[in-house]
Amino acid sequence: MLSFSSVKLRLDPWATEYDTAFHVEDSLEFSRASIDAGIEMLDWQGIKPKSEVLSFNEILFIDGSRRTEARVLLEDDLKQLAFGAIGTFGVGVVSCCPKLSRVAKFVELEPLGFSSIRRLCSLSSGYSLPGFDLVSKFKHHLGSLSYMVEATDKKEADAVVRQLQFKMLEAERQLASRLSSEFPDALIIADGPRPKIGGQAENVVGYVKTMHAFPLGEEHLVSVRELEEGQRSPLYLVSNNDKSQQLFEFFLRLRDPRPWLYSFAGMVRLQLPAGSKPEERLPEAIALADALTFLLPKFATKQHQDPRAPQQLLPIRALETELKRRMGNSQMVRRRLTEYFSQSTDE
Amino acid sequence: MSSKAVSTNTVSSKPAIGMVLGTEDATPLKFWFAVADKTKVQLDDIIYIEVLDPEDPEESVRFYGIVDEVRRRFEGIQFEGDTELVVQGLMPASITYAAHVLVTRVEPEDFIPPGPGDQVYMAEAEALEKALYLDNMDAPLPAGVLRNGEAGYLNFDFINGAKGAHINISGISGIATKTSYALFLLYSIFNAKNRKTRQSLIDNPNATKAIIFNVKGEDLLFLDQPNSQYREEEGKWQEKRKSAETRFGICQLPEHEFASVALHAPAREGENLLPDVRQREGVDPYLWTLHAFAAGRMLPFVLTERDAMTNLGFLVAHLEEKLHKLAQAQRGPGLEVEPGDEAFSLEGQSFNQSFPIGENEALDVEEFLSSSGRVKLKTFDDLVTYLEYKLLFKGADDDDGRSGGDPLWTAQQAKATREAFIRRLRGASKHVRKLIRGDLPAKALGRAKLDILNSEKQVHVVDIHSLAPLAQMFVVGVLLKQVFDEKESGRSGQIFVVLDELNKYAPSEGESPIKDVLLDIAERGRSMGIVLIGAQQTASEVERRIVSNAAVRIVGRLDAAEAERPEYRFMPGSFRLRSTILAPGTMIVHQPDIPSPMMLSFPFPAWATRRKEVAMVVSDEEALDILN
Repeated sequence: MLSFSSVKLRLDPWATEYDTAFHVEDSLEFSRASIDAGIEMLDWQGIKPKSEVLSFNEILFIDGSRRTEARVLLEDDLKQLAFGAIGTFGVGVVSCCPKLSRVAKFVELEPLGFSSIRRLCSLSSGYSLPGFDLVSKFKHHLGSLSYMVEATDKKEADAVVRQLQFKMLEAERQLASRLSSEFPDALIIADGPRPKIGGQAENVVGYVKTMHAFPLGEEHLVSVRELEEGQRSPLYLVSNNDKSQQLFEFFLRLRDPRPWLYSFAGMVRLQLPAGSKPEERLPEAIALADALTFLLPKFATKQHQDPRAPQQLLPIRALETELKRRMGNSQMVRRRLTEYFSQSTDE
Repeated sequence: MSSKAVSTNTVSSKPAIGMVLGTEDATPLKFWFAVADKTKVQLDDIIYIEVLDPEDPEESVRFYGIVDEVRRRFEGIQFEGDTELVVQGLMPASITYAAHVLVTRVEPEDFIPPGPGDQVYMAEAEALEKALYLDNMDAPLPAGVLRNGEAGYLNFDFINGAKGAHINISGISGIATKTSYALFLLYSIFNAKNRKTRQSLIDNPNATKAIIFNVKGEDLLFLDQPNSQYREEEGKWQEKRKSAETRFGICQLPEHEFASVALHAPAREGENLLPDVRQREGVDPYLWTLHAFAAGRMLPFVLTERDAMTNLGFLVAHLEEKLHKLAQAQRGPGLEVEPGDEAFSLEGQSFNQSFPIGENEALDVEEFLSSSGRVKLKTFDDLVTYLEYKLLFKGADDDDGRSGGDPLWTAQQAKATREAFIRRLRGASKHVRKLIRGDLPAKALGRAKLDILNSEKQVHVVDIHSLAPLAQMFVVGVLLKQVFDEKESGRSGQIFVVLDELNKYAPSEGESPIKDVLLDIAERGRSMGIVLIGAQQTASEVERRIVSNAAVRIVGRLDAAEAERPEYRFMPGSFRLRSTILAPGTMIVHQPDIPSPMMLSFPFPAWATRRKEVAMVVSDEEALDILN
């Protein structure tokens, strides 16, 4: 049960939409990265690739979706001990053919020993509790919901939600790593920054949609702003302390922006693995960047199809819908939680 | 819950074909189910589900139903344009295949909703019989083949008058195959054996008759001949449906032509009583004697319209009675004028019709004047002339020789009314004079009498296609009236009447004597053993009481506008839609004790339906005869 001695989890009645707003991805941006903008081209201008040969026979899009179901507070008789957040996340994969010669499909993760949906309760200030199951007393409620408890040492209220996000990213990273070794002939496109995977994992690339911070100086951004639909910027190298995790990056214009939109509308940033010896990987990376520049605009959404068009890709849009479906109806889950906490208080 | 339902189900060994959907309302009367992978479910499939009693898991309620809608769509997509993207391979989606069920039976009658996830099974064998209420039918009448290849049955108790009577068929001419289906049902009635008792469905086969009015070509005059194209045509169906049996076989009916058939056609004019047909031999001519016309009160039937509340109506009713009385006192086939009418002469009327009376006949005064010295009326025109004399000329005091008439006959009607009556009668006379005669020997005319109830034959085809509309109305009206009168006086046995073009005989507007007869049959025929198998293009143009009295309603291909009319509300919407695309040979059949209609296909006729289908079998002897 939840309570040891007088310590109890209590539900915060407010809906989770009133979370403190924060952008998780921002916090993950490279802080002190060094940039080498001249690795492909010194005098920057937009590149329209001539060949579209992709050396992979399958593209796997990975994405995760996360939801905070409820905020909880750990209290004893006297005071509040810790913040908590109950959340659900799902990770999934869509398999597409680069030649678009077959129908795209969701990849079943269970055969890979991977569960696509996980439910967590994260607690701040280093507190932990055993996991718990929500079993309804109403027999019409199908199935039970099992929650694992994850502790974080941080103390602030946001930390618990961030913890959920970290767990999801971790799951995505593991999935990308697993797919990379399971399907060496597939190109794995992870939604968001490229996961840091041990080993080479040359077939994993990152797809960054948001344009909040730019690693480049203004002299290069000028030519990036001028990119036209289907053009990419030259590759630039992003180096970190960890040389094995160096990245090639480039900007890609998926669709020409309307005149009234800001200059980075319709733009994405791709991250390709550069490894510890970028010069050796460069030709391969240029070929892959060219192929992606041809390929990705085909998957771009239109304005009416998604509020995040065109950067939100069609397979990812479908995947997010599917993951939300698998996570279950949030109001239903919230009710089950309320029911559970009311029962545990009665005892 | 659903897995539990599977484990308790001990009835079906076959795998489930799907499960009740949880995203649409499942109600005790209709529900959707998701079709299992690699399974085909189509319209008209008959299914059942087993629903656990929420209070007692040991008990369950069984729902039987018919699939009336099936659909497939992409699941997980948002916009119509997404379909193209999915097909192009740009985004994933899954296909959902769902079927909608109209519940036809709930057993026991606990009207609980089916549960989402409950397993759905195809109804076969016993379950199928339950779904179609066969277990409740004492006398199931094979009515065609269901989509699943099994026989579909009508409850004969709702046809023969035990619980209901009459069949009504609607559909577009030429495509709806109304007459063909009516004949198939008739064939089934005469030939089917009860599935349980193996006895004939009709109680007294010898006293059971059928009258079929042939209104189109000479098509129905070959019913007693085998159809040379039957094997080939029915074989096509067997091949298409991969059926080892013919549809007759599935219905457990023999495959042969109609047995015990009598063919009747109107007699031609002239001295030799010959039937007015071109293609068929062995047809009996029919007509009525002038005496029978008077005695049988047939006068109203030669007038197309009658409004009982007008002066003309009173006059007709009065004269009908007068003629009846006149005929009572004498014997046919002609009609002798009343005592006191010695002054009447057929020659005397200046406006007499130029009726082609043979010369010797017209001048044979001996024949005309009977022993009493009164004139004997021999033709319908004679009768008209006599009535004209009685109504306008007798005791004339006018300048032009008309006015008064016989006060006992005029019913005190104004001269204009009497004149109008005579004009109408003269107009009718050219159409009916060959059907009402008294100018031949009684013996010859007696042979041409249409006496169906006393005939040994079972099926009587009465050809009226060559007659003018007014004469058709006369024949149908008089014949049905005779049958009705005889039945009303307590004659045993049943009679089935097949009549197409009901809209002509009993239109929704106006009144006529024949409509009265049909209404009598529709409303009282059930108790007397008269069953009307009526057909029309559009039920909305037929007298409502006639259609609504039919226990069994059948629809072939319908016009789209017609299908929306209230007359067809007995079908659920999906059937109404489908009635506009039905192929020939498929009918939607509705009967009172099954809430949902059945879609039935009936066999290619084993009897010839036109001359070229008649099997030309020539025996060796016949061949030798021809060669010699």
